[in-house]
Amino acid sequence: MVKRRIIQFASALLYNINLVGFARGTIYTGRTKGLCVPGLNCHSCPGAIAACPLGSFQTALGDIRTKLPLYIMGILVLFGVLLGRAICAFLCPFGLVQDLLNKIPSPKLRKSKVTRWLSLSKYAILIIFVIFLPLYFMWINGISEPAFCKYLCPMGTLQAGIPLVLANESLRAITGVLFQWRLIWLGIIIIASVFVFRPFCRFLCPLGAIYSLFNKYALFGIKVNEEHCTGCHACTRSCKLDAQKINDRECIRCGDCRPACKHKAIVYRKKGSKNEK
Amino acid sequence: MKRKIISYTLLTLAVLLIIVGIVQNGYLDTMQRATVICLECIGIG
Repeated sequence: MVKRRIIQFASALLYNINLVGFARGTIYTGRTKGLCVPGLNCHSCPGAIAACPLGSFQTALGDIRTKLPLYIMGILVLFGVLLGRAICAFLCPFGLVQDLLNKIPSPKLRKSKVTRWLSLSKYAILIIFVIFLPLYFMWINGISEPAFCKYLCPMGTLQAGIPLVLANESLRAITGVLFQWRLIWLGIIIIASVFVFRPFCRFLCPLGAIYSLFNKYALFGIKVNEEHCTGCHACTRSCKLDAQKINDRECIRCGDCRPACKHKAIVYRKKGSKNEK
Repeated sequence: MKRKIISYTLLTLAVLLIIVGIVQNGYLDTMQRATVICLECIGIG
């Protein structure tokens, strides 16, 4: 857990190392912005030194009449097949934000069949807000609109909208209803994160939905050693997410289930080894 | 074994997509878009 937290903080800092941008109210414009980070990290954040894969994918859909967004698709598949949803546990700054908020003492909503069902809603958001709406607006207006970034991304408000509006007077002057909606939406997610473990990751995040498609085949994962496993399900009972078995679509490979296994059957290991469940 | 084959096939596909994407200027397009403030992303546009 401590190691994971260190990795989460280190990756969040590394993604946003252009700290001077926060003071200036401007964004980084170097060549590394052509690369994508694996987690949800807005490239309009003053500190961001690389692009957000989801934001880049949506904006790239605007050019789909002339070229397919193969570069971004390749990056998403690469991250997915290497790490799967381990990215959510280790390399996503908004995952870290939610983890910390959930540490605030309060009654917690436990997982159930309802939350397992609700976890499917992120696939609807992926299809509607990330793929369909940008393409629809491009077809209607000739200009694509990154609908997820515009209406639903809390990270854009938290790490880009708020710092830029605070530091940049010209941007502050043109804020309107959309910015107010974004603040309300961020507030809802922050409050929900106190009472529900990682609500955005579980129910809303389209990037997590993409990575979950590769979770079963990701090269880095958690291995259950069949020789030691007694099938007691202590691991899945201890899981705060909606995973029904290790490495399923909702498993973020955080490893928090490992201490729950008395038989030490759960280990981090490269895929493809023997006796793997 | 089947999972391993799928994993490495996907890995190869990802590398090919990235290479073809770079040839199509995908890297430069991404950089150009990410180096201007996305007003939609920050809740203004």
